[in-house]
Amino acid sequence: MTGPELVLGAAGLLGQPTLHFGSFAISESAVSATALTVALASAAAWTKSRLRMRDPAGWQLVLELAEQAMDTTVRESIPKAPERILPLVGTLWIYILLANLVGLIPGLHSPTGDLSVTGALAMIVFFAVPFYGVRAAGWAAYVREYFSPMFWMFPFHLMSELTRTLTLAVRLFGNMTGMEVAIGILLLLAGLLVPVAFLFLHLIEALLQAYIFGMLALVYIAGGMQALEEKEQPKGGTVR
Amino acid sequence: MSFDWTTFLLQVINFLVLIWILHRLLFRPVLRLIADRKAATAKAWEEAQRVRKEGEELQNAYENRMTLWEEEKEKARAKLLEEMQGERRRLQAENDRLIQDERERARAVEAHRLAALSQEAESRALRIASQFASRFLQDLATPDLEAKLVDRAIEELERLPPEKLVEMRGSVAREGVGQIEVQTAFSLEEGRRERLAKALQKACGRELPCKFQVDPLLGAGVRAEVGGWMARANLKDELLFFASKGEA
Repeated sequence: MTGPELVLGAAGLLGQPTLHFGSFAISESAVSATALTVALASAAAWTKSRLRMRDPAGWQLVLELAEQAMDTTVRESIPKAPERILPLVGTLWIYILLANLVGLIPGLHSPTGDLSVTGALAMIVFFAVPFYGVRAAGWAAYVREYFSPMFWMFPFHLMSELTRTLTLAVRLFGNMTGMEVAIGILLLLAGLLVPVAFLFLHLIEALLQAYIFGMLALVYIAGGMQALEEKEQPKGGTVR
Repeated sequence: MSFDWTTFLLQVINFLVLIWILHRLLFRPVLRLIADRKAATAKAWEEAQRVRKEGEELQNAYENRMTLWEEEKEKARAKLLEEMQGERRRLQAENDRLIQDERERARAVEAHRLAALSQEAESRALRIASQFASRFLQDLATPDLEAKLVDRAIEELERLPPEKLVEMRGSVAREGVGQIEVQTAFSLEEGRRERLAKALQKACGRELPCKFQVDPLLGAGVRAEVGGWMARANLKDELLFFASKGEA
C-alpha cells in the first residue's frame, strides 16, 4: 500500500493539489473541506456539552453574541419563519470564513480557492432558493413566478438564477484564489516578511467574502420568499 | 482553474451534513439557551418587579402604620399629659389642703399655746395677787373690818330675791336642817350676832338655832352654813374664790 502523494495540478498556482490514495485520487481542497467540516462538527459538539445557563464563559458570550448578530440579520431580511433560514446562512458564514482562513496556515490552501467547492456552495444556495420559496408559498405559486409577468420571461428568470449562482461561485473562488496567488507571487519575489501585510489583507478579505456570500444567499432566499408574499397580499385584500 | 465533480459532490454532502450538525449542535442549542436566559431574565425581572411592588406596598403600609402609630402616640401623649396635669392639680389641691390643714392646726396649736400661756400668766398673776392680797389683808383683818363684812352679809341676806329664798327654804325643808352654823374670825358683838341670826332665820323661813364659832383662819368676816347652803363674807373665802377664778 502506498502513502498519499502530492501532485500539483496542470494549472500550476491556479490549480489545487491532488492527493492519491493508491488508485483513488482526491483533491486537497476536498480533504481540507472535509477536515474543516469534521472540526466544526466536533467544536459544535464540544460547545453544546459546555453551554451553561448561569455564569457563561467568555467564549460562550462571544459565541452567543455572534449567533444573535446572525439571527438578527436573518430576521431583518426574512420576516416569515427566519429560524428555518438561519442554519443555512449561519453555516455559510462560519464555514466560508474558516475555509478562507485555512489559507493563512502555511502549506495549506483555502478550500474556497477551489471552484468545485465554491460551486458546490453556490449550488446549495441555488436549490435553497426554490426550497424555501416553495415552503413559503407552495409549488404552484413558486413556479408561476417564473412565468410572470409574461410566460416568455421564464428563460430570463432561469438565466438570472443560473448566472447569479455562477457569480456567487466565481466571486468567492476568484477573490480567494487571487489573494493566494498574489501572496504566492510576493513570497517568490520579495521574500518571507513582505507578504505579512497581505496576510492581514487576506484576513479582511476572508471575513468580507464570507459576509458577502452569506448575505447574497440570504438576499436571494429572502427575495424569492418576499416576491411571492407580495403577490399573495393583494388577494387577501389587506394591502392596498 | 479546474472543476472536479468528486470534490463538488463531496463538498455538497459535507456542507449539507454540516448544516444539519450545526443546526442540531450549535444554532438551536445556543438560540434555545438565549431564549431560556431571556425568559429567565424576564421572569427574574417580573419577580424583581413583584418584589419591588411588594416592597413598595410594605413600605406604604409601614409608613401608614407609622403615621397611625404617631397619631396614636400623640393622642396617648396628650392623654397622659392631661392625666398628669389632672394628677398634678389634684396633688396640688391635696397639698394645698394639707398645708391649709397644717396651718390651721398650727394656728390652733399656737392659739391653744398662747391661751394656755395667757391663762397660766393670768393664774400666776391671780395667785400672786391673791398672795399679795392675803398678806396685805392680814394687816387689815381687824374686828372692825369683820363688823363691816358681817353688816354687808346681813344686807345681802335681806336683799335676796324671792325665788332664791323659795329655793333655799325648800332645800332646808327637804334636808331637815336642824341648826345654822356660823363661823367668824373674831367674836361678834351680841347685837350684831342677833341681827345676823335673824337675817339667816328669815332667809331659811324657820327659827333655827344658830351655833356661833370663832375661826381665826377666816381672817375677818363670817361664814354661815345652812344644810347644803353656805353664805360667805370673809377674807379667806374671798381670796380663795379670787384664786380659784385664776385657776379656772
